[in-house]
Amino acid sequence: MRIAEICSGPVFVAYPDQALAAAAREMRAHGVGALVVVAAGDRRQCPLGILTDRDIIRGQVNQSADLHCLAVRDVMTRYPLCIGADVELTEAIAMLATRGVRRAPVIDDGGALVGIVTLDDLLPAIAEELRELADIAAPEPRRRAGRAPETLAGAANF
Amino acid sequence: MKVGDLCDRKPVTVGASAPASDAARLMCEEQVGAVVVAAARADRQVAVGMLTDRDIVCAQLDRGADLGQLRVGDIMSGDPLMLNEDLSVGEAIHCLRNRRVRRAPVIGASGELVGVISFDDLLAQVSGNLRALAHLAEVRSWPPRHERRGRPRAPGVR
Repeated sequence: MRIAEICSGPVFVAYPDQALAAAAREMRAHGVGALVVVAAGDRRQCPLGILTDRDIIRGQVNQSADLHCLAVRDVMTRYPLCIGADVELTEAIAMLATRGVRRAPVIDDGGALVGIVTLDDLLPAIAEELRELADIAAPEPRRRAGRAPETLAGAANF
Repeated sequence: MKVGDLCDRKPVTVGASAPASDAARLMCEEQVGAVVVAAARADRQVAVGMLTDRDIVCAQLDRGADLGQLRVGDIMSGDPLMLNEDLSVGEAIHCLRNRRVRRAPVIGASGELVGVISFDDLLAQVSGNLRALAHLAEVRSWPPRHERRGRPRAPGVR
């Protein structure tokens, strides 16, 4: 499965010079835990950073400054891991694990932002694969009733 | 495997009367996104709430306050879901799902705080079970597939 099929959209963005409080309000209004930071006026929205609740707390503690006096650029995490939309699920998980992050902006071939993928999106994809595996392993009567046998083109005869 | 075996038995705690700046500093030092709000009751420590980085940011937005002006007890989520340390992993997952929370204080027989259990702990446990199952499947097909090629076969065995 490709990341493009998994990543959640729409993705919400913030701008480096935006007031941190305004960005935090955006996060709350949309019920998301992260915003992708892009340059204002960049139509392709190439990711420059990522902003999470944790960044907002850490930024205030480290800089001994208040949320209402800071800008997004002061606390955002720069150079985020970006994952290509065509990357496969397994490879994406390995990339996140290597960097030790739970989320990454998803970009197209030209580096433009197309979404964001999080651990929360990947878990259901894995669970779905696991459920199908369990279906294969289940004794005949337990297999889900009413499911027509599926064949894939090119894989029908085996 | 019980919740008590799996949970973090050294939870990061903060008092309800502490300023949010203390909680924020703890979150940074301990690299956690949430802390247990604890109180002393009859010579034992009990959980009275949970406080996440998002709770702090939202409270700051609502009240236009800096971290030092907010009191933990005023912004925490009170009446937290508490899990008995004797619960099974499956029961714990069920409880967290029903309350739609990602973590919960773990309590002993007399209600004392013994730890905190998170979505991450439970995911690690479930995936560990899965890894063990996969290992079993490999054992069943002994010898392992990568050692099978070229292995001499007993006469008469197809």
